[in-house]
Amino acid sequence: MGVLLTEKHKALLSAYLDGELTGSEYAEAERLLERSAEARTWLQDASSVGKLSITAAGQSEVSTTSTKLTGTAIASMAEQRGGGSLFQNAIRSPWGGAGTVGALIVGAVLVTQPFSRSDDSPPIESQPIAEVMHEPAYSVRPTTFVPDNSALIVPPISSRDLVGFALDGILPINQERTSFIVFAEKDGSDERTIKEVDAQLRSLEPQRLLALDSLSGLLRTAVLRKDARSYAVRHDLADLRENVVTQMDALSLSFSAREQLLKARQECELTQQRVGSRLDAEMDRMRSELMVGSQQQYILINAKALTEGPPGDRRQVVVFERIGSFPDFVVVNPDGVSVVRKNPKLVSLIASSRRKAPSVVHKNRAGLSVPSHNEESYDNQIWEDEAAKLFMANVIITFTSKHGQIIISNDADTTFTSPLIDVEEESEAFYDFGSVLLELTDSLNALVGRIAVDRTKSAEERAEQIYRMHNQYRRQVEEMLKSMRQQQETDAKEVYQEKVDDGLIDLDTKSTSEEATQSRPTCSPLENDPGVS
Amino acid sequence: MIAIPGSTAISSEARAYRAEPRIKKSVPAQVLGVDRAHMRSLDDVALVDEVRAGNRLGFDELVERYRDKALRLVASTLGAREDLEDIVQEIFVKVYRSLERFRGEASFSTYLYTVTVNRCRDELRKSKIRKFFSFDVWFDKVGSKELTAGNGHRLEQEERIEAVRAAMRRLPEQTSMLLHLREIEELTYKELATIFHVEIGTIKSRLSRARDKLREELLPFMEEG
Repeated sequence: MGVLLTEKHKALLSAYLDGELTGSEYAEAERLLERSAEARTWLQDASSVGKLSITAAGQSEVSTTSTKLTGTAIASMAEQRGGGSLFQNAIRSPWGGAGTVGALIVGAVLVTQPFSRSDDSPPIESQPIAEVMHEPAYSVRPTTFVPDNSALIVPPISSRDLVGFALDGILPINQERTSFIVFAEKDGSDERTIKEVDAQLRSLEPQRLLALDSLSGLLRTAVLRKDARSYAVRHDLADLRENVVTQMDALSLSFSAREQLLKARQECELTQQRVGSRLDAEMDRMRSELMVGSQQQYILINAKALTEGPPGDRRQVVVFERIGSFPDFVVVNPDGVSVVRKNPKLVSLIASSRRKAPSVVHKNRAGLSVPSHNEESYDNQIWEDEAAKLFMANVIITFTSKHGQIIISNDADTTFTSPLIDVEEESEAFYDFGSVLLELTDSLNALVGRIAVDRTKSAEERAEQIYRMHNQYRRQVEEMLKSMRQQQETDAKEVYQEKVDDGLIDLDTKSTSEEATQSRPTCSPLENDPGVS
Repeated sequence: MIAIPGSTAISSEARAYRAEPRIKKSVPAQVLGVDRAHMRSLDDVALVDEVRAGNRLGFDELVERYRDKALRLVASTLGAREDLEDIVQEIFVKVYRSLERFRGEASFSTYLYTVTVNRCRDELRKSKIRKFFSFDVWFDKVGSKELTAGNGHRLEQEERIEAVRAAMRRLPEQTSMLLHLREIEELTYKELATIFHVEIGTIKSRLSRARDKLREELLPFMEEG
């Protein structure tokens, strides 16, 4: 009777309930219960709370049984995946629009007949290519591709595929590995056979080279199929091959394996030279062709030109009127990232909106310049500007020594720069934020894509909606930053409480935890906690 | 990556497998001469050893033993979401991939719960951010979450359950998971201390505070009940 229950008493009773007391503690708890009605009530209530939570768990809102998950399936999945964290790569926007990466983006078309072999044909190591394939004919002319998964034909890469890719410049184009695409240029007729692969190389574990899933992703998006005879191959595939060869070469291998790798490297260089020179020539030719009024039906996208090139080059991106007749197409990002299905839709908005030439420009309700159309003349500049505004947001996260900053920009200019964010560099909170921001930016882009192709609305309405959406996005980022700061404060409180729990901070045993929380000074996680001894 | 402090007696077989750092390639069950019934008779330590030896049936059994437990914790922490099973699947993928580093100093279940708790915390952190930042409202203006008309009076029991859930949700996320693991899965303080990387004393005081808080909130229901 008359015993005021302290936190310590309650902890004792709670552990008593759980049967987690030592002999002396148990005796102490018994004594407490004997002399305090309040303690007995507390124990009774705590026990009831436990029962209630068990009942609540038993009637969960969601099903808590699963028969779908099996160890075998999970193990297969785990083994298929490579290691490594994707997040560190994601923090710098992979889809940074056109402009962040300097390389050319060109859908180089390799018009060829992929060689096929029947199921009973000999294994790949001894298959002579000359019997089954036609001479490949390169064209570096950009073309149009359907932006759906059917354009992606290279299956997930196995270690054997990787060796084939490195040594012979071949990639499978079906799951069964009965058809391959050959992109390497051989020097001399005697090279037309896939070599017997050195045993050491054949048994190479690709995990020793690179994270296989990221490489597989790169290779899969590097080859696209338009129809039975037309394939687009990324122009820098030879660079990637050389990279893999270099990594293999860095391992300690036998002499014969090294010799094969040396040949492969020479082939890579040859391919690079040939494709490079053709590409340059083709680009020059197409620059002159891609002028307003040209009847040629293809796209040339030069990412670098978007932000760094002369104004004339930007026209190549925004002269989309012709693309209007090709609603489906794919852009191959130089990093192999599928920017693909998003940017083109946005661009197609501009394409479909851009009718014959605006001679008058007025502001709509959103303050966006909207041209009135004139049948006779063209004014690309306005639409170039609008295209630049509407192009994807590019999220860049930068760090100063102790602070982070988020810059959201489109490809024309910076549209939002956050204040410095008081989080520790490399902190989880910041990376989480960055990751979610990228995810949501992606969803913004997808929504913009949906609006762009929504033919039930006029072009002006669509443009206005996209414009508002970008503003909304920016406002939400600002709000997000605020909430992140609040979260930091909450985290700091939790850290403080943990220290109290761990006995690193002495509190008066008579004070309650609430009092402790109230008396605790608020602080930023960057500051030293003044309460810590 | 995840170090589990504490000491637990481990079998000599398990100790022997420590010397083999990598999970071996899968071996068909027939070759090993084991079947599912045999797997069921093994304890967790032996099953982990089987998995390390390349027998996927061992992992099948581990998943079967623990998937519902993991799912319960994930569901109780994250609430009703469509991707709960996906999350649990990811947890098991992670566990499988790290089995080669699993030293057996703590039990498999403790290790699994550690991974699950960490994953739940990550998810919660992300969902807090997501909550503020979504474009869904732009396209889904018609709210779908309104209560349907004609629900009538809820049963008292449902009301009580809902109150418990609400009170649990108001607890700090770590405490809520802690309480779940203690009350529902009946983990010991030592196991909980391992999972949450804190001292046993901390577990003791956190549980006591959680019970105290729930007690205050649920007092009316306890009196009724």
